Amino acid sequence: MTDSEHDDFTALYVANEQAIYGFVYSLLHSRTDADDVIQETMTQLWEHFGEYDPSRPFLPWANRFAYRQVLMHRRRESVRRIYLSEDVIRSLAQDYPETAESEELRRRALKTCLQKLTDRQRELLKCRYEGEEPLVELAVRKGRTVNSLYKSLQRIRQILVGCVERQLATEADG
Amino acid sequence: MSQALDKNRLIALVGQLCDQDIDEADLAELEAMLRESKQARDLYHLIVALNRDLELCEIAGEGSTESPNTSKSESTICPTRKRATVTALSLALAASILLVVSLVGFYLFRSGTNTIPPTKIAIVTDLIGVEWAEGQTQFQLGEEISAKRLNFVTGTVFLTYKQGVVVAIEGPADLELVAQDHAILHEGQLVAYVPEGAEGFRVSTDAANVVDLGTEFGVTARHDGSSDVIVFDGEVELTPKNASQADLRRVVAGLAYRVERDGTTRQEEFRQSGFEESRSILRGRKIIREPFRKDELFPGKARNGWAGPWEFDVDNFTVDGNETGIYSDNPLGSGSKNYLTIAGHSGGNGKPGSVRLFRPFDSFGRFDATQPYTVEFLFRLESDPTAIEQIHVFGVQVPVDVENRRSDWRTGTALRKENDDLRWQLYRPQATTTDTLALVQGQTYRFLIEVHPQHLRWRASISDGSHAIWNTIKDGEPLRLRTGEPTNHNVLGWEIRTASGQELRYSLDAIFIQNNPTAALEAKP
Repeated sequence: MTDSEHDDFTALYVANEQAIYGFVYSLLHSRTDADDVIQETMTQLWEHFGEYDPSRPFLPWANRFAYRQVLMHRRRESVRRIYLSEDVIRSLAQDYPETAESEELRRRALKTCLQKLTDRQRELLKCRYEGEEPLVELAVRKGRTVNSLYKSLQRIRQILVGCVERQLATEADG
Repeated sequence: MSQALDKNRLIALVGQLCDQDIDEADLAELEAMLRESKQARDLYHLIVALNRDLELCEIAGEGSTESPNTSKSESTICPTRKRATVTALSLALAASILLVVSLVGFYLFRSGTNTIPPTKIAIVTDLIGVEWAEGQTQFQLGEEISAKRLNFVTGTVFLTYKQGVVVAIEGPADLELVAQDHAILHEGQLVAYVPEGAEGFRVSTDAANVVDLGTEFGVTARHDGSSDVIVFDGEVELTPKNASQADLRRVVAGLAYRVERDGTTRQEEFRQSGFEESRSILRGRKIIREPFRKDELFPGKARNGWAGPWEFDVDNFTVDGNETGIYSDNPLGSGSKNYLTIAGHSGGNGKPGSVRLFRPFDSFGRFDATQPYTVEFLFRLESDPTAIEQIHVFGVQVPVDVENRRSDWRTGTALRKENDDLRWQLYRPQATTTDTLALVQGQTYRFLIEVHPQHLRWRASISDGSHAIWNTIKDGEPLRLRTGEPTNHNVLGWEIRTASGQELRYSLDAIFIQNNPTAALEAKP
């Protein structure tokens, strides 16, 4: 790869990395998996960049490599982790809707919705997603069972999804 | 008629999936919902996207903020990313990557639970992301194929032949199955693993015929009619089609050739990249690898098969901590991006200095250290060879059957004969020939060592991309491992001795240890 190609690749990759990451994450539903696959995808894109036709959009081209890496990753890790079956992943990949704009709108909506949660609900989210305190320890501290915490987590997800959907609908109408 | 979507149920199931806390029945229910309706898939994407935001971004700040209009606007989502973003800088530093995949179908087939009727040539043992060409029969997993053409646009098709030959074809490809021992690759890339007893398997392209002699090799057929042949293990016979039989040549592990449509043949750089995924799937086993990620500190951690970090053992030698580490500015070749460089110097007291770098490894996942395995790596000497007295690449194997004993192999010995240059040579006590390979500063050498722990046998090859030496001795009996003191772990190491007061610098990369049924190491009856 020449210096100029290197610069082109870098610019395109950096501009699209979040979107590729979002695509990969949507199919593997975990940060650990997505982080692994994005590394592998980047290497593939780097090696095949000579085949990229600059007159066409970069993201669909890149996502094809990402999709392939997702399937490979699923094969290799499925002994240890739970994934959707390949045909479902294929359908999900075809229906993947995200654009940079929709991502921004969703984040903004989520931000608003998070503020509507109670402190206890946010505390539970932090345990689950920021790992500040493992759920097991939180359960002991609160005198609850882990199972009941998971149930609460599900309830919070329902609240957030409903709220975000309403926010997005309002944005779309407004 | 499809039922109304139970949104709360879907949210619960996707949540369970994200939490990795979902049983088979619930997973099946979720998959059915996702297959059934686009509305479900759209909602899935939203739920998972929110999960991603929550995983990657800051959740609301402390304290209650019941109203969105409070001043708690600092409780933003995603101003600080928790995940380290891949930057333009790190793009250039991507680690060398080898995929590790399992191929369940392959082992089912190999273990005899799946057989091919006599008229059939091969069975489709896996399909990964395959998009068939228009008008092409869409072969299914497990389908038996008789003489036919396989034409597909993307993805990888895996075929297993009756005699155990396993082939991975990467799209876009056009492959014609002719017979059980012959396939024509019109376009595309394939990797074939040919086990003992199936030698003679042949792949033709427009430019060349490749006949296997018990090996693992790759073939690429291009639009312009040219072909590449690369040999990973063992040996093949290569004959350009538009040339006389006199042009037949044997290509051994570590070498690669390009054949033009007109029969012109030339040696090429040995490039593994592009074949790695297929190869690892063919092996269907876990690989111990050292990708030398830029963000990891040297020495590495004990994980993924490594039983401990890298270790040094020095004698009159000082390792330079500032210079020793992970670099990326001058990769060792194909398959290398980040690499490890060891730098240091021997004491100037008139005595030689020695530095031994080693790392223990054990069985891990599907990698089984009691089964035959190969050790592969790239080596490059960065400093002046005249400072070096000798180099040994060595291994220690915990024997399978002998209690409290270990066994060793030692290979890739670079020695200086009087007034001679430093040259690689292989330990072959009973052989009379002394094939050697010059050890040149800045040149990358590829090592492949095959170890058979049960039969206490090993053999090795070293290649500089143009030449290769290997140490199967004359009667075909590989070398026996020597036994020694008890040990708990298998070890891979490099030992270098320099003259007094000399600088030393060398690099390593693309280290892979993986199970590989190396047929040639089987014990003779």
